[in-house]
Amino acid sequence: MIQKIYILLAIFLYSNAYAQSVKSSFAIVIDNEHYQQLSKEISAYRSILLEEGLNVHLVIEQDPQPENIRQYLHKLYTDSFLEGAVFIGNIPVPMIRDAQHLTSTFKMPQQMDWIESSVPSDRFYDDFDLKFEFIKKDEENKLLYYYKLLPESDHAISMDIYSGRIKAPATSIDESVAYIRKYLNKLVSERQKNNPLSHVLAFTGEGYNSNALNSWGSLVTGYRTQFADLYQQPNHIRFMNFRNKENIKPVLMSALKNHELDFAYLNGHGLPDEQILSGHPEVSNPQASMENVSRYVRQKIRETDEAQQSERKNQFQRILGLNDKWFGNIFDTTAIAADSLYHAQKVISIADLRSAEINARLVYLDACLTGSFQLNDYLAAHYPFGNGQNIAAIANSVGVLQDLWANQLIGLLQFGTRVGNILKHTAYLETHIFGDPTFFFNYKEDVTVWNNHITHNKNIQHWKKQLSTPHPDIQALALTKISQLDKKEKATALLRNYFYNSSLETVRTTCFLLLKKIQPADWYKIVIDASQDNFEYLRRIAITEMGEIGHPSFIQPMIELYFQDRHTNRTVFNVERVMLFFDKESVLTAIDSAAAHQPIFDRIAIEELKEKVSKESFFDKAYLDLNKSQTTNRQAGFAITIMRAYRFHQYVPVIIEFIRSSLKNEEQLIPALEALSWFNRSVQKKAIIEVCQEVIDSKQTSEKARQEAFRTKKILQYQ
Amino acid sequence: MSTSLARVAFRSKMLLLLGSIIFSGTIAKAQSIINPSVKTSSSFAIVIDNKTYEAVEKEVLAYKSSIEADGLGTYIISHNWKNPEEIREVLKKLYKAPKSPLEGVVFIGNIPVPMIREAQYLTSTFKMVETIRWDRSSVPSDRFYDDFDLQFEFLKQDEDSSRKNLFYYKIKAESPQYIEMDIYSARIKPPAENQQSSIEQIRNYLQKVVAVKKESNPLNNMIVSTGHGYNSNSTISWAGEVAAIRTTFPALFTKGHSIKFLNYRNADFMKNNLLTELRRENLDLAFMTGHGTATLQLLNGYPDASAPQPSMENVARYIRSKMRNAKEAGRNLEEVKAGFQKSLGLNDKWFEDAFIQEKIDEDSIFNDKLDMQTWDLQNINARVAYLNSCLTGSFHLNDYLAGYYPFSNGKNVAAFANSVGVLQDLWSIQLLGILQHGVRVGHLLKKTAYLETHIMGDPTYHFQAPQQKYYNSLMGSQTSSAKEWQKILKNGDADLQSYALTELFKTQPEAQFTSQLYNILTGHTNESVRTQAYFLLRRYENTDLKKLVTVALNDNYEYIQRKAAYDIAEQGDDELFKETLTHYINNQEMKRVIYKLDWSIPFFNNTISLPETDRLLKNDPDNKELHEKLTRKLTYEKQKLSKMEDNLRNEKATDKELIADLRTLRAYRYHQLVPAALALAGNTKSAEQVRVAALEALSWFGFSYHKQEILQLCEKLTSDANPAVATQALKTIHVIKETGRRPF
Repeated sequence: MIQKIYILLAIFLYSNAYAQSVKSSFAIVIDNEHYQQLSKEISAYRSILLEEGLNVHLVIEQDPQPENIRQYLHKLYTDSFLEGAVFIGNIPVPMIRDAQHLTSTFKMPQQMDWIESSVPSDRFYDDFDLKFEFIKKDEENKLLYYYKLLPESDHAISMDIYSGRIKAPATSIDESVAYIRKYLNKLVSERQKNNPLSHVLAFTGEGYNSNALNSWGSLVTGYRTQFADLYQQPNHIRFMNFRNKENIKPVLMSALKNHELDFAYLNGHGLPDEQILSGHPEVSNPQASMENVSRYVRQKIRETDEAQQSERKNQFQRILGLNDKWFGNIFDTTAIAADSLYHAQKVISIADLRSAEINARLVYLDACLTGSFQLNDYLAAHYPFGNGQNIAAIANSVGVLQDLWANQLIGLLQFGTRVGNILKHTAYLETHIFGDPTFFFNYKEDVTVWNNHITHNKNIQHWKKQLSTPHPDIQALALTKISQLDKKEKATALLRNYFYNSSLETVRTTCFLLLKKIQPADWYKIVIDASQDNFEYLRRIAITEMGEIGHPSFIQPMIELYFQDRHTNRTVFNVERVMLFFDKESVLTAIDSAAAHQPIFDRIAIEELKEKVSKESFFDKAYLDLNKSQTTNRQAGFAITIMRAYRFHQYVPVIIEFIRSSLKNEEQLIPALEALSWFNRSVQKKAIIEVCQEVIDSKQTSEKARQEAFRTKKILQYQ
Repeated sequence: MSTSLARVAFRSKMLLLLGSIIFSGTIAKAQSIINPSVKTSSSFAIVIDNKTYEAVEKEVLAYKSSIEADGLGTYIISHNWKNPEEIREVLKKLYKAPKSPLEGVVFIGNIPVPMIREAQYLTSTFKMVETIRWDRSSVPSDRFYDDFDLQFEFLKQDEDSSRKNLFYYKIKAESPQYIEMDIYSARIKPPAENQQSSIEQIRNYLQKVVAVKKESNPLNNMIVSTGHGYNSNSTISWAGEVAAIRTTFPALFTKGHSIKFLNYRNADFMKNNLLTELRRENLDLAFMTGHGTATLQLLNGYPDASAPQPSMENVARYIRSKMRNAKEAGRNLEEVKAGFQKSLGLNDKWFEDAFIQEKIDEDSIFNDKLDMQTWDLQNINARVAYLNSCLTGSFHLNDYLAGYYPFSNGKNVAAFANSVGVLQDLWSIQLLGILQHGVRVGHLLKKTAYLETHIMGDPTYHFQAPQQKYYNSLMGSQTSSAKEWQKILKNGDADLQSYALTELFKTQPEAQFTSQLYNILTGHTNESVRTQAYFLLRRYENTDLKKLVTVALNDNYEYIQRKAAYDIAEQGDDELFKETLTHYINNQEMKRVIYKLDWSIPFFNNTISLPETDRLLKNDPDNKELHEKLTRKLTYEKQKLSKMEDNLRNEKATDKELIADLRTLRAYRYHQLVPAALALAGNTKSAEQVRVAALEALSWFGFSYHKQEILQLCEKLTSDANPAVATQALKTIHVIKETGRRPF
């Protein structure tokens, strides 16, 4: 049962006519158990929001149920200009299934442990167009509720409100209350300060985006225009990466502890309890090389069963050409301790955050898993719940794509944009704010008015006016709004104009992403032109898009780019991956053509590429064998599963043939249909929809298989 | 009268004297001159030796016509040149001409090469001991021809029959001691073993230039490359440059244009990618940074790796090379092997194939692929190449790498390169953006050159741009107005503004302009304009350097911080230490800035630096390692300094020992040793060469907090009984007073 407490607000004078017509509201959703002990702090937090001109709905849940909360928020959204919500304490965690296509990259087989193979996601609460079906509650963790996304749902995220979680890394209610009390007290204190965004840090960890320097360079050039004002004194913008120092951790930690630091973007690999900063040093001199090798050898021997250690040692000595020097002290406690300490220097752990005062007010953890809030303890929580001035951390509840766009709308932070309003336009299923989503940095103009515009203003002319500002992210936001509000043709024309003519790379990229949603008639040409853009990130995602579509017209531009872009390792990496999705002969012809007119100095690279394309890979073999009688279930399963991550458009007909011959074999049929649901932009889309219809209409297939076919069809038909 | 004022007065006088000179068909009897066939506001000269001219007259005339068609009247001056003075005289006269004065010159063929000595402070970093062979320890420099205010004394012509073209000069004590080129210059001198080859290459080049200059080619495709081992391999330095270029070449980042950043980290063999780019038909500008020799551009080191297998491959390559060296040196191979096996923990595996021919060949090919070789440079189409490297422009040699750019059969027209070693931390992209406005490449050189910086090829080349005529005329004019530059400062893009500042500096009142420059340094959005403001502020003789470096140290552009780190070392004042150390502690990720600060910190007074280090770091558990490192370093430096001071004050020390210690001060700003050096310089009982060495060493302390003491002593010593001491004292005064006018 929901107990509703409406807090009526004093009338606030808004600074412009638009703002006066809107009383935006916000919901604080909290379980009763927490509320009983935190009412004073909640009241103080609420007061801050009231003062800022938000209506505040305090929603105290006696027995929190996801559907009830969702319905109530939806009602507030419909009736009361709800712009966002925060979930405090023990609010159910929706664990979403059958919706991996709404994540940036998560593709875990769903037959695995449900806690790991479901996506903890508050999109359940903040995107009302998504349709879910309840499956079950977790048997052990009473806070976890499993839902599946229904085929008839929308199949793209378009958040209606923003949300945030204030969920402590605690195992008991007392511990949780203490954490939240401390956090809310800090929050209220920090929110009363006048703090514009003036100090920014961007850190990039090891092993991300092929460690490509030019990918990092695109972050830098993007920021250069997005945060142009920060480059002047006394403001400060600081870039850091794993290459800057062998032991970068203390440097990063002391930067994060700096009281002046407002925003830290931290990019790198992650786990629920660790942020990975650096690996073994990249070196070429002999002594340091041997140290790397010795660390590797020690680790591997320690991992080996005692009985096999001697053999393993011999193997290493033979392969790596080592004498006994590196094997003498492997099990010495001092060596073990030293290696352990060495490893600890490469990561930020929960223990590190517990003992540090992180003062960066907002932290963006562009990393896998650090926001695994389905767990009692998860790293991201230790930013807001730590001892420093941090107010919010943006983090992901599952694994996340490396090629995510680090720059997207992030410059809006400097204009007093609530963090939630940035999340609302950028989130995947896994993206969450831990802490107060209404937090913003102060700005010289009225931030309430500004945020009201973002959340509620549907006047196209207003947004068109915003296009005349020089700031790339205000332009990008305006284009986003116009693409939602204006007629398709008009919006397309405008976006196309900005895509081709804007001098700002982040604006061009925004247009590309918005046009991708619209899918104009000339989309393929736009993709090709994007692959020639000067912004590395745009080239990179253009290649990914070519792979998703698989149209033959992409082959030549993709291969041309491969030879023009050899210095941007991530683009080349993406081309090498994606070119496998096209007809081999056509790719080989394209290589010859490119080699004939491009002045490629490294002729060996041409031959190597041709060899890579022409050889029959184990992927090829899997599909060529799929419909043969001797193919085992396991082999067929492999071929099908691979399709989820690799868009082998040329082998879709093989899968279709397989489906047609497996109508009675539910065990094989369902994964095959599911695999094809990932081909929603493929040139084979029509054929896939047709076969899905055949399955739906088939009398031979089970109901479950027909449902899967229906799901795939719906995903492919969704636009 | 300050030296700079004296220089202005000198210029005015010369202008008056030359006001009445009217040129006819010849300037001097023995020189043949063809006058410009068009009247233009400024002019250009082709200086060529007779033999070459006879062989390529047709091509030279066509080249002249093509320059004139582009709006620049051109002289052809040919002669059997006997020495550099002959040429300098001619150029000087043309420069002073009341109508259509000279704006630039190109030297074609066999033109005497001035080899400059005793002027190393005019280079960015060259500090070779001048007792070494003269052809190596002198700086080949055409500043002799293009900066008329510099005053030189002829020393000798090289005696070696193969080096008769080298003429040695030293700079005079009374000369201005900074570079401010009056005209721009360039060399068309192919890498050739004999005259016939030279002539053929020149003919081909001139034909190419005429053709390429007919293209309508705006600067819209550019590459920037960075080789291994430069600027401490700092990615922060790299990112700073990327961000700066984002603002100086904004159009290149838009659709239809291209800018690519190549880096040794992109590939094990960056050469493959670089050559593909350089050969690209549409590439306009290639800006390349990296180490160099006279015949190599160094691009990659052994590949960086952390995985075991590639790590062992690096180790194996190292072992094989060491074993081969050992064999060549006749060392006991078993002993060498045992040593490596012990230190690196290796078994026999990596030693087995060291002497197998196949492996030797394989390693040789591998090493060849790491660097740009002269024979790689064919079909280079990048119209302008900038080699920000040591030595590649060693044009005093028959064979030098930069020559292979213009003289390749591609469309390259000009290569910027350095005739000796060059500083890694110079402001390499200074004003580069002006090229996109169709400015002649010579104008870029004129504003940015050190003693060693040269253009190989045609200095009149420019890209096409709507306002090319306007900018070329403005930059080629000797009488441009401040009003015009104010207008550009207001409306121009980053590097045009930056350029305008350099011109306004000449005319604006110091107090007012100082304030304007400070506003720019702290408030301008563009990195390059702020950097220019910094360099100009430090040019004022009485600028508050402490204030300036403190502001600069907090700039968001890594390069400005790096430059501030240099100038902090030059200054050495106790008051700067706390700020410096705090910056050092808080910015450890900035590898190159940290490298420079590591270098600078020992120059502070150790009675300040040691306790302050303790105060800031001793109780900071996060910085325990840093505290230990600094304390160790400062303690070591304290002992070293004390020993050096004892040596300098030791009456029994030999002259050789004293000179060796004094020479250290040329590169290391041990301000605490200045009093000891002053004592030696002022001591009439010291040997002449010791006193001169002391005064010369002190001339490198132009920003030191001891500056006034040095100047006082030098003033006194200008009337010293020993003429060598008096001359050096005068020179030191000039060098010190003009420190700010030299960027480094």
